[in-house]
Amino acid sequence: MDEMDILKLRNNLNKYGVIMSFTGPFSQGIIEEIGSALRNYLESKSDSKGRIFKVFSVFIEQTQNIKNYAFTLADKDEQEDILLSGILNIGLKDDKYFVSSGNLVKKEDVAELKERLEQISSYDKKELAKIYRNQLRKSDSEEGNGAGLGLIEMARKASENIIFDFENVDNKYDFFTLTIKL
Amino acid sequence: MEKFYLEASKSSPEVEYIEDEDVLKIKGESYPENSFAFYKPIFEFIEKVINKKGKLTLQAEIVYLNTSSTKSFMNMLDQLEEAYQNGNDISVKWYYEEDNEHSYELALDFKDYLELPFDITTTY
Repeated sequence: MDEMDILKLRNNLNKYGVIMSFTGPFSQGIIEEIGSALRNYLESKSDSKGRIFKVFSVFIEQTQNIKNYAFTLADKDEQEDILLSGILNIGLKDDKYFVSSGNLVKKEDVAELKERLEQISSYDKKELAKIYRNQLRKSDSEEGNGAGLGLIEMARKASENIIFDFENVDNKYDFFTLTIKL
Repeated sequence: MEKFYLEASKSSPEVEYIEDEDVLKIKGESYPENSFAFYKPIFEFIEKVINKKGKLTLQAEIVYLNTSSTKSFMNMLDQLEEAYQNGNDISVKWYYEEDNEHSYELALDFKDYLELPFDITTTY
């Protein structure tokens, strides 16, 4: 490919129902700005506050998870690899919103994350609520970036099973994708 | 005279202590970059004011909390519960807009295990 075919890219996004798309390093400022744009969009469609905050909440947890994961890594190059790999798409397909994100994950971190996601997706809503409340009461880490809570929160808000995948990239990283339908 | 005020930002709530009413009001939404750092001075203020006056109502008018703010809120409520169990006059008043299930569900998650008086009220 010599020149990037922007129209083709745009058509592909359209095909999947993507309304908003961002790729690149997520900063708090960018998260706030995209979040505002997202809320304005949803309000213009006169969705209920409940639905708006479901979509917004999943958006916040996904983007902050990517950013927080990057900053748990001590190595600056690895931090940058993770941050630059971030991608987020929000769309509407078959009357359901979806929030879909992707980022590099270090191979050594894949097994634990995968196991947690598999566990979370095996619970029904009632079990998720119980686990969420238990996790909330645990008085653990000061930092409290709450990644554990974030995944449960997304699964609670989801209207269908969460969809996730890990694809091999190279000998250091896998690419992790997560889609939540609302 | 005790004073505490934080102006709201896009990702953090307005926080105001109203001394005449013994009310600490937290209003808006919360998803700051570092919720632990944001809530720390609030915890410290709460401790100080309860030690001094033995009385506090947390008035939470919450639109949205991300999970790390939820965790910080839980820690704050733990702190209030402890003060309540130690005989202080403590209560929580939670306000949510009628169609905001997110805020309502948060209130239920919090209230679940607390013994202190916790009112949940819908606005309009």
